[in-house]
Amino acid sequence: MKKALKAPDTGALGNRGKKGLRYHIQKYGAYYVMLIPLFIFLIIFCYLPMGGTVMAFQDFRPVRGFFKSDWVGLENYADVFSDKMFWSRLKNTVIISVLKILFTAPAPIILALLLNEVRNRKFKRTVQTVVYMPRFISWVVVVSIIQSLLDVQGGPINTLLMNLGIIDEPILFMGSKKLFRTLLVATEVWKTVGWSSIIYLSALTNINPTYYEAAELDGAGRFQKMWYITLPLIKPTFMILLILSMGSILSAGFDQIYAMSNSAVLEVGDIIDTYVYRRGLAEMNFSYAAAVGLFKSVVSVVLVCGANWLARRTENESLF
Amino acid sequence: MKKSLKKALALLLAILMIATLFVGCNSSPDPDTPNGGGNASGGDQPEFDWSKKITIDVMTFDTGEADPNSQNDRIKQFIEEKFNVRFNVSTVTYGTTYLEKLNVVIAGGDYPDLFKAMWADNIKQYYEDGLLVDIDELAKDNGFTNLSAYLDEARAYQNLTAYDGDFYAIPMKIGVYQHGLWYRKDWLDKLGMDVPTTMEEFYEVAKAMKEADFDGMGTYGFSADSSWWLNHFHCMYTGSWDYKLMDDGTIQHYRALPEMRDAYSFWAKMYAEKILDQSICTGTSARELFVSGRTGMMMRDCYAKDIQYVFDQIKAINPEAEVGIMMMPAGPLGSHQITGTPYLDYTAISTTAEDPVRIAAILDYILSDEGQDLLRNGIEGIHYTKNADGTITKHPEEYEKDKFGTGDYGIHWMMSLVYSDPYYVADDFAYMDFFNETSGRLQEAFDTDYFVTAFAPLDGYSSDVTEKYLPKFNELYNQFDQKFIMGELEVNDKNWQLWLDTIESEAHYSQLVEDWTKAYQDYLAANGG
Repeated sequence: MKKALKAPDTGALGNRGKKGLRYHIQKYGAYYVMLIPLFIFLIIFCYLPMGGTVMAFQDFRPVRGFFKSDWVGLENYADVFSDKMFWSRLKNTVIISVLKILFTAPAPIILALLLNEVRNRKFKRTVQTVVYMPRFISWVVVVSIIQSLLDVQGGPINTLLMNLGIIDEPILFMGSKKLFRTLLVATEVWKTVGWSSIIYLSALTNINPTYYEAAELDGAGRFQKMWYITLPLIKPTFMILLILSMGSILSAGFDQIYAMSNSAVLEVGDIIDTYVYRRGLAEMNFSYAAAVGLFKSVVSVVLVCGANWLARRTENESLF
Repeated sequence: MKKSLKKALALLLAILMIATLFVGCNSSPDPDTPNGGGNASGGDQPEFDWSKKITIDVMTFDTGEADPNSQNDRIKQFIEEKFNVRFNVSTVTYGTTYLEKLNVVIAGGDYPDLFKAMWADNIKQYYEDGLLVDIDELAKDNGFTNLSAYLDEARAYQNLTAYDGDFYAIPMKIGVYQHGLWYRKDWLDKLGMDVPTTMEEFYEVAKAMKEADFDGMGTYGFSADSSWWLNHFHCMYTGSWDYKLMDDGTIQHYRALPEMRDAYSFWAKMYAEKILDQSICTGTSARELFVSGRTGMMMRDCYAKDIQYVFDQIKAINPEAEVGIMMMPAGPLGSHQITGTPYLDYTAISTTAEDPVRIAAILDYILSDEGQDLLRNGIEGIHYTKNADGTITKHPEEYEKDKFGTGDYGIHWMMSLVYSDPYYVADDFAYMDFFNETSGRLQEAFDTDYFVTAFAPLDGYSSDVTEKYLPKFNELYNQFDQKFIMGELEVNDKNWQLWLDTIESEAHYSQLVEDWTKAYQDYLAANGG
């Protein structure tokens, strides 16, 4: 990550290899100590709970706990994989994730490039603040705003479209199978684009201005500078973010979908997480939920490693 | 020197951060001292040793806007002192949200002592895991006569949830579903139409109301919060709203009965003509539409609190508006609406509670005349004064000081822990006449064949098969419900077969039928017939 952000002309992080770990701990001891709380946090909240994965192989009953619940081997997986609903939810998840990646990946680059070209600082700052804002609004709030905007009876969007003569009948946006995924992607882009563009903006500021000066001397225009200098130099950042997003391809955004979906769009909008939430928590099938969770994690690791390998092979850029 | 100072500072900062990480794990100290003024002997129950003050963790439904742990609540304090306990209450909105939260809490090993256990299928799991106290036994052994009497009354309806003959959770008496078909009386008068008595007339009235749009807001003819409410109409086609005993002795789910096709055809037509609320399958607020003149009729609760709300709101928006609640217009099987068995939702005591007997004693007290009086009217001399003629005068300014939540029943939320009179309404209720006329009519109809009730032998039934497949079946029927009503699937032979095939392939419907039928036969065998 660091490497990507500081690419291409900053040096490596240091020459740790030469002087050894002990030297570094002595020299930067205080900083290492400062890392301890984070390590403890990670151990308590990220590593210890991994032990709970055993649930996936048990008929877990909360009252009995991990030690007294019966072992069932791979029975939970048999349940998961023989469940038709699971497969349709998996399909939904992948479709929604891929759509989201397709649209949310390039959008912040475009925004960052546009912002980068703005010369009026006041205007730039204002725009930046305004586009970051949605990131801080919870999905529940966003969804209720969207619901009232898109309301079929007297919602402003429907009223506007009717008055403009674009549609004859109000559209049931929230209950339309055709429009639901579009709504998911559009709201996701709206909510995340500003925040994600920060990373690209920082990558842009890291580009050595001498490249631009040299290009200008050679007579390059704005568009050419963008195409031949800016984009290639932020490519590493883009690749890293893309690889990371592979890890969440089976997630697709629980908060958003849980708040937005209803029985009318369940068929196209229900994802693994929302499905497992209902199966696992509402019906107390903790083992089923854990089995799916583990399956998701394995797939995510494979996807991240695969994307990383592919990126290294084809573009010579990779996360690790 | 400067460098080491920096290091020391960093070290200090790190230690501080570690410390804050762990702060959250500490439980806060109990503010109550053992000699907090509790009545150690517990009043009427001198045989119990209640000298040690205990904390009872309670998990229940939302109590309203008030803070259930408020120190201003004198009614709660009265009970706390009487039994030398302290309540630690957490509340969650009623419904699946509650169930999810409860399951998370239980999964975390943090069992509440006294909690709403919700529905029969999860209670079965809690029971199997030994989480539930045998309340029947507890009541009998300790002479909690009010509680025993309450359970005995419920026994007639709760045959399958009373495991080994005993109750492990107390079913709440909710009485008949007070759901009404509300309509705009002033609109009907303006149209010169009568209250509809058949489904055809119902359609005509709904259509006329939509077209007339008297309040000029753009209106539907009929609305309900979700398609669940249409069950009140479906039952007039199928004669059932959950399980139905067929002539061949099998138990079928009404959604799989061919009669449902006619019901769907009716609603598909209503939907296509935009007489039916277009958001009925995606979630809508029928009550808001009704009070703002955007639907002429709605199917919704008509408990006292609902009547209060509708009247207050509609009069504020349109003083001319008049409302009524009609009996259901007759479908092919006559005029009916649905109701469950008179008991729903359960309150349970955890086996991990420090003193289950004392908790049962509190529930017994709530059911006593004194307890009922306390929760409805407050403390005599503070919240009300008794007049010479036996009536009481309430002091609203005193209630104001307590600021307790009222929940759905009685005046105090603790009533919802175990309530015995679902029809209770305070004497000073503002719309008493309307309430008596509408709700009273429904209560009276409970003894007639007007209500299509839940199929009692399977009420609350749960097995490994139903645990596995019933949720899927329910999810599928919600999907198809929406498809048939919203017109995505035309109601015809081909699509009906598609529905039947889908429940078979995805929810193993025939296995469910087999399981229900067997459960029913077991029930018959157990009940001598």
